[in-house]
Amino acid sequence: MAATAGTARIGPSASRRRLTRVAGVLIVLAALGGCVAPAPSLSAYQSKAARTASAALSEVQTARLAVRQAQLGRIPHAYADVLVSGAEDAFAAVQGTFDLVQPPDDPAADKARTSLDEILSDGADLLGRLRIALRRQRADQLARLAEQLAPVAAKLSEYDPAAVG
Amino acid sequence: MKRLLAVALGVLTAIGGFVDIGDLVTNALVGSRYGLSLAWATLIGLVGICVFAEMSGRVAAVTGRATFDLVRERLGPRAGLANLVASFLVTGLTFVAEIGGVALSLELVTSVYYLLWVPLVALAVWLVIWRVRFSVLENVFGLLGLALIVFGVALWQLHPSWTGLLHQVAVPHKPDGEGTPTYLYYAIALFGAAMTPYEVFFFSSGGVEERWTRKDIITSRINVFIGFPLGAALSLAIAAVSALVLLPVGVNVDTLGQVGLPVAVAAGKIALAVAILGFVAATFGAALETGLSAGYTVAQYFGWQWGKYVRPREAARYHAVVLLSVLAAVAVLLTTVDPVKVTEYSVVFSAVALPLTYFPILVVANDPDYMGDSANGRVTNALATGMLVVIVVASVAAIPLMIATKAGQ
Repeated sequence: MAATAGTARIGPSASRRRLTRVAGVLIVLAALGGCVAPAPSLSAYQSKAARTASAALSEVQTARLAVRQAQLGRIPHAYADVLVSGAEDAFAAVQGTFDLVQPPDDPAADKARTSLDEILSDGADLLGRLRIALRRQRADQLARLAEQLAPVAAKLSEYDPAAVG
Repeated sequence: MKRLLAVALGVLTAIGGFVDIGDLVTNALVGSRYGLSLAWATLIGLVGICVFAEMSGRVAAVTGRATFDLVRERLGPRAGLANLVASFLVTGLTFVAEIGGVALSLELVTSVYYLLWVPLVALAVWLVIWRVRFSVLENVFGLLGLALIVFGVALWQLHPSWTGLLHQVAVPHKPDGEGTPTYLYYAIALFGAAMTPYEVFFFSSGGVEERWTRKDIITSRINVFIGFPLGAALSLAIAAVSALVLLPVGVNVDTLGQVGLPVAVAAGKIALAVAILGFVAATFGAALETGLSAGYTVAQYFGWQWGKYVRPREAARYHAVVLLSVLAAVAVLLTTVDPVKVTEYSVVFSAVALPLTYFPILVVANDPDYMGDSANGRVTNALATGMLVVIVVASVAAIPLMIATKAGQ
């Protein structure tokens, strides 16, 4: 009876400890999961590449739209500056995050990475030049750079990591 | 005539005050990604906030007591304290988002980095809360918030296919390539944006401050049932212009600047200036409401003197909570956390925390001992109980969906 009572006392506390340990492990795993993790498979990597292309497209199109509206006199210079600078920063963040992902050991993944990297590099370069031209208020350069961004947007829009692979 | 003007003013401020940073960002984001196929979530949120605000306004008018006073009494001190902590954290998160929203709006006009604006905005918020009369504070920013009607004008200027838009609203369709969990996650975000708890804390505490009686219930109902639906129409207009201008070119909204871009495309520079004025008014007004609500919740729970109708010296602890909340919000923003991301999380956590305050108010509004013959009728009760089910489902599903979709990616 005493043993039963003892078990009854120890039982819940032992199970509570076990529960705490499991919860602790889960929290650590969840925290680690939040860090940039290597893509576990080709399909997961391709899906990440497709999401990166979509996010990058959004920033390129924002910058193009902002510049077009600024040229039409529909948005003030300060507003266009904030939009283009924001798009450039966000584009760099998207590119940086993708570059940190370890691709799986598969030639298709390497091809997907190389082809997207090329487009992203072109995009980052053009967005930087667009921001410089905007701040210097060079209307002719702005028009040319916005035109040069169009094929980058098209490539990002059509990017299919599976087809590249 | 004077009463009619007061009612009209109440309705206008309810419209202008309905939209805050959460509504601006979430509606534009969802519109740019899903068109109007998630409008149903806003409409359910609208019904929810109308039911919740009407009940809490009626409770305030009949009992003369505000939300957290009753929450403690109905739930007891311990459960009430847990409730207070959760609600205070969500209100605090929203407060951070609103102050960040004002700073981002000012950056759009000046191109001065928003973090430089944060301390000045926080100081202005605190000064207005400290010095300006409640009625002025409530009416001025509510009325200036009406500038957001420019989104409706922009929608008109874009000459959309109205039948096409109505079809998207009436026959929701998840776009190809979008996962169901992400679709549902954004539905909860829209629901949370429409039903932010601080709106009700502010509304009911304002009723107590202005000493509402049973005679004021009708005015409160007019504000809620006319003002809020028109405010929700503004939210839908924001989503619609995003859907028409940004969705076709692949822009997903993640900055406040992108929210205003469709207005410029549709109606030009002056319309954009009006939209930015609306951004500043809506976010500043909401920052005042959330700052006050932070003080209301704590002071009402602990039974301290609170409110704007007593001198600050007589409500020193209440004003100390407000001041500390302002300082904490500034500290959070100066970590360089993205205010738009804070907004996205705040609307989802609003949905998570909602049952904590909705349920006790439903119980009190239903209790003849408190309410006498102003207790919920059958129709109100059926609607409010049905809404409780929706609120609990959204609350339970929100965090798992947030984890599963990596916050809507």
